[in-house]
Amino acid sequence: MKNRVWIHLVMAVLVAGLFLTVSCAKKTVVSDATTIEDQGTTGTGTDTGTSKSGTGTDADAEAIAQQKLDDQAANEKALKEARTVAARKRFENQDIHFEFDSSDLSSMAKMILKEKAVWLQANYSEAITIEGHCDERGTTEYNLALGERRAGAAKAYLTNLGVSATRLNTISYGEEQPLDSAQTEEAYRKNRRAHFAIE
Amino acid sequence: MPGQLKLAAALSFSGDQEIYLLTIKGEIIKRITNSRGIDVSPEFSPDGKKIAFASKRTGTPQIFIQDLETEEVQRLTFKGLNNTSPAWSPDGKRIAYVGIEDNMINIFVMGLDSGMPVQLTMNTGDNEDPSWSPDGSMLTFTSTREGGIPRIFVMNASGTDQRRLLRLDGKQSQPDWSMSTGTQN
Repeated sequence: MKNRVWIHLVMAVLVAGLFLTVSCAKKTVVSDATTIEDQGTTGTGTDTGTSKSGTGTDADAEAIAQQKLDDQAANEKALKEARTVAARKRFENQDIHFEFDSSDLSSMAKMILKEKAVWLQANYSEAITIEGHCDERGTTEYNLALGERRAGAAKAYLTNLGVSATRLNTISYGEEQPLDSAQTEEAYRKNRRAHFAIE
Repeated sequence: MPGQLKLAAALSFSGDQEIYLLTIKGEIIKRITNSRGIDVSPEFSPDGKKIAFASKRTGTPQIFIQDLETEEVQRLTFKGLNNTSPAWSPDGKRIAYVGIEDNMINIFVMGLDSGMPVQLTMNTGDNEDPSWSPDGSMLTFTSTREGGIPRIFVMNASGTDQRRLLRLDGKQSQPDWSMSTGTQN
């Protein structure tokens, strides 16, 4: 009885081993076939495949070239936009300054106004408000008048440079909006200004 | 304008601030000043015959008086390089104004006969916007003497007894004393 059991066990092990061997062999065959198929494809396509492979390279090269052009165009566009934004900020941030109790334009103020005229001519759809400001010395009423004259002087200069007066509004804030509220000459100098706001 | 429904105002539509006489509807009756430079802050004399104003016609802002009928102009201030904001006393004999010297803004008063300015405020921040009491004994004005914030003050016409009238939130400025004391019931 015991012998029979052992024989069955041995047989089961042998059968299992046979199965494992067969499955491994199949795997190898499949693997080989794939390899052969791959090789065949490569092999048969040697003549025609060369041209296929060449077309792919040209297309890739074209795609790369196109990508480069696109990138360049995008860079140029971004650069142009950055320049436009920078020019706009410069236009708005650069004030002109005046001497105490004066609305006369200095040579520096005229230079800045010429630059502003160029920007205004390049951006013909934009209108601006020229704000006249004063330092705190002087009475409220007088400084309102002085601020108006400062804004008016800047407007007249821009108009003479060819900018349409209809695009140039003026307002006086007198001494009401100082940039620096300190009571020093430096603060007074900063506050005596015309500011240019894009509408 | 005392006794009449007219007003004076500085208009800049010509590109130059000038003083005009207007109806209460804003129609121009006549142009009072005609000079290159700022002309602002018109103040009628109590009898309505003259007008005081600040003008830069001589290069620096000074107080002038003009006869409305004859158009004769008289310069009132000669001392100092920046005199503005005239305020005529109720009796018509004095004008208070604001003068700037060494960056100090102060209130002065000048008798029209004497032509001598008397400084009423000094070393107490910026002092502006003088306005007379109806009896001419006091002036109200704006001063920044308390922490640099504009507040409304009063003082005697001689400059004595200066004291703050109000202390509210924010800034207080440009007081104007009513010409009638009124009666309290």
